[in-house]
Amino acid sequence: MSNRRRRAGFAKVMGLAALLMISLEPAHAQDDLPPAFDDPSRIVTIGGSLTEIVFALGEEERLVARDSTSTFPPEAMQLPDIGYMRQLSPEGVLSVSPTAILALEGSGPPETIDVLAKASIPLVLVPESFDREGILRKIRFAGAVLGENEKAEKLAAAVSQEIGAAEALTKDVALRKKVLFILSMQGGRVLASGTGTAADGIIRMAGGINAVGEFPGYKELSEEAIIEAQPDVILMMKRGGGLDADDSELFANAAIASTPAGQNKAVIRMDGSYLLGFGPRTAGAVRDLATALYGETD
Amino acid sequence: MFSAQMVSPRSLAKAPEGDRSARARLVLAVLALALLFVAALSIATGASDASALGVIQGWFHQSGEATLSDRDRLIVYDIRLPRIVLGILVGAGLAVSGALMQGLFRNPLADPGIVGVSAGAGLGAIAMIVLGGTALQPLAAILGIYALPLAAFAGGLAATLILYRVATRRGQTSIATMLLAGIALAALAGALSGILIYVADDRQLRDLTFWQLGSLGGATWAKIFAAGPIILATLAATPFFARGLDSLALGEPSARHLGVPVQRLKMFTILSVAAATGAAVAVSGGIGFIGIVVPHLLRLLIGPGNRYLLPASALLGASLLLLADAVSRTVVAPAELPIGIVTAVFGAPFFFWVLLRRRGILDL
Amino acid sequence: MIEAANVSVHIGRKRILSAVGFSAEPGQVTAIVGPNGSGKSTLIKALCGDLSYEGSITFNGRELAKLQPAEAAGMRAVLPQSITLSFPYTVREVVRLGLLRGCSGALDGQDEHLPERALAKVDLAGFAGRFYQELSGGEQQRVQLARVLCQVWTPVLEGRPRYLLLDEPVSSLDIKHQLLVMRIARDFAERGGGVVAVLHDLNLMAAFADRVLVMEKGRSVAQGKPAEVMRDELLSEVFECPLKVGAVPPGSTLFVLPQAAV
Repeated sequence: MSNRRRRAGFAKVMGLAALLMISLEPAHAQDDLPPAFDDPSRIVTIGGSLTEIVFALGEEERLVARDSTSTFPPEAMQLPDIGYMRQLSPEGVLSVSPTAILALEGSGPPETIDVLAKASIPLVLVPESFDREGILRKIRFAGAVLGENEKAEKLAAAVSQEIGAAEALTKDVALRKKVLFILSMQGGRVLASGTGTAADGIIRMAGGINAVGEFPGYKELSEEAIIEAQPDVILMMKRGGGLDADDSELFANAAIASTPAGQNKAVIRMDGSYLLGFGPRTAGAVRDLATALYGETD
Repeated sequence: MFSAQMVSPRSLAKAPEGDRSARARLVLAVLALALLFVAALSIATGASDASALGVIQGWFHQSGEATLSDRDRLIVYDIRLPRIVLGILVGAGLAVSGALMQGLFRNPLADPGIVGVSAGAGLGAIAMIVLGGTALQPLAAILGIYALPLAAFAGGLAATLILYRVATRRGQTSIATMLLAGIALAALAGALSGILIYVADDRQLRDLTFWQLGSLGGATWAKIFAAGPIILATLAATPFFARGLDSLALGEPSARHLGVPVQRLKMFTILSVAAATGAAVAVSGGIGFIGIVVPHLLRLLIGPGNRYLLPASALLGASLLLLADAVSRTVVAPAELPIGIVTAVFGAPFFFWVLLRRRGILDL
Repeated sequence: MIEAANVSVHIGRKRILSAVGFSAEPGQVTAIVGPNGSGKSTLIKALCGDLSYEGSITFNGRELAKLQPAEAAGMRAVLPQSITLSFPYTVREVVRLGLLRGCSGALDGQDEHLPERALAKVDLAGFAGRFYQELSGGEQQRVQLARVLCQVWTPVLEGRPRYLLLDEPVSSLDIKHQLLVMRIARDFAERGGGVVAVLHDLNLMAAFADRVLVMEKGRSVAQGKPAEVMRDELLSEVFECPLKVGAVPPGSTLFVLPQAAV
């Protein structure tokens, strides 16, 4: 075979390969989406953010039940509560006669999922990640299964823009603040968030730095670890009902008191599902947190 | 030396004084009927309005039209029925295991977990929950949804075998040593569990908490076929344990003098209890209380004779657990309360009440 | 016949019994006496099969160590010193345990009546419905004896004698019942069975035993009829106090001997 013919042949193969690769590459968020539910008239949403999204899409009429983490909007509380998302009762779920279920990844237990599959009820699990893309994914999944892709895209675009704007607020901040998210101070023990949690996600989106970004999940911090972390601000959930540590309890902890956060009495408290829900309201949460951290900008 | 009783025909008909077997037989019959009733009640109860009666009618009318929706059939056959069967097995298994342990240790406070099976099962479960995604991932992948029950069962049985081995010297098992070793093992298991709890993430901790509270919610026919034979084998063997355990109440030397093969009895009792309890805990998590309360209530009613106590415990344990399960399925419907909470919430006060009323006649 | 030859027992490294030889014939009440620590309890425990021993112990010619528990239960019954129960069994339920092995020897169908008959024998008629735990120590002791009697109701079974092994059978009993129990033992022997009893009370031994084994510091120091064995020097040395057989106490000290009521 002559060289020219070989080179032409080679180019054709490469061209084909390139074409193949382009067609295989997932078009932005399109291929991952599940098909629409055959009958989306009676939906159960499992996961607070999904419930909020369904309401935000204006499709709340279809909802017949929710899980225990779905606390917003207040209208959602009117729906029957089928329990904690990882310990669902199969008969309980079936008792509301759902035609489809939209659930956050991690719902269970597996036996319940099996029975629901046997009952031929379509169940879609939505993967969760604690960043902007995660929220958009949830919105798109919800839209896809409800057969409302257009509405979902609109909502996604709006949310994406709001979050982008909120994140941009702190784009140019030179000195980023170290934030320590404290889940609880029960018994004087400080349970703080490391990486891979909703708290970690929101801190980063608001332009902060996780003061204890060396470990995953929630861990109890020793006094030394707190001092070493030197947080500038403490972030906590507002839960009400006397469960929360108030300022006096917080700063009574010597280690905390010695940190910059302690010395400046810098504490931010926000509603739990608003702050950590990673749903449609997150843009507002990012904005509020960023403002609380760095003051009003623009 | 003739006693008048031997001669009088009338006295041959009524039960001799001090013999409670007639009353025990009556109670046994009542308990059997009660279990049937409770089982029927359970299958008709649930979070949904699925009608069990409808399903049963469906059996008899084999007409083409479905008188009952597929959903209802699914609920009754695939959700409620396995749950009830499992509840009967677990309730009976735990209650009988409790009675056997109390007979073996000659102490009404002995609980099936005393031979280490609870500590081991708990540790197995924690290990699978926490490490199932990492170190134990290959195992979890192969075993699928049976990974957790198998880990719990393996842990329970392993713990009991260790204890048995530690307490047995030259072919003689010392019950006292076993008890002390059990305390040490529980401490060790607690420490290891603590480490695993520390590295667990939020979700795993929640899963573990729910496991410890117990539930019949994950009942599947597969679990029933796995745990069932083990529990049934122990239940079937109870007549053989009965007389031996009664004589064991006199102490091991006296039991031996009466011809009972004491070492064999101890070994079989310990190992069957470990197997049955391990199987029960593996498929339903940590349901407490049944092993202590049921035999004790029955002792107050029919006496401690094991010939009737063991079967009666099985029946009452099954009924009580089914009742607890019915409550757990309906009280916060459509959600579900872990069954261990129900058994404790109703069982503990009731037990207190019984104790207070019978203080004078108690054996402690 | 029960024959023990060259029996030694070690507990840990301590030697409790050294080369004890002894025999108990059917038809006789054989008593074992000695001070505390002489090894009498250990000897009877060895005879019961509770301890491992060196040497030979045979029951009706069969070596004890080779007997299965069930076989031994058919040949002999053991009355332990005291038993407390952790569960509320009735008296009848406890006595009925004696029938476990099923070879009481009573006629067919009579087994169920034995508990009442045995209780009558030990002067506890009417106690069948009481709770064992509510009885006094002496009453509980007698309930155990009733149980033991049920186990070997007939002293001779299929031509072979059976044995009662009694470890301090009268320790918590009042005099009336002490005599009652010893009479039961003698009656058992008279009907062909063998009785071996560890006794503290030398007077009871004198009144009821046909043969006596005297033990001291783990050894047997004398065996024979009571008359042969009850000598001042022997008893004084073994029991370490100046005993005199047949001597009335000095002065006008009062005394009551159980033998007088036999």
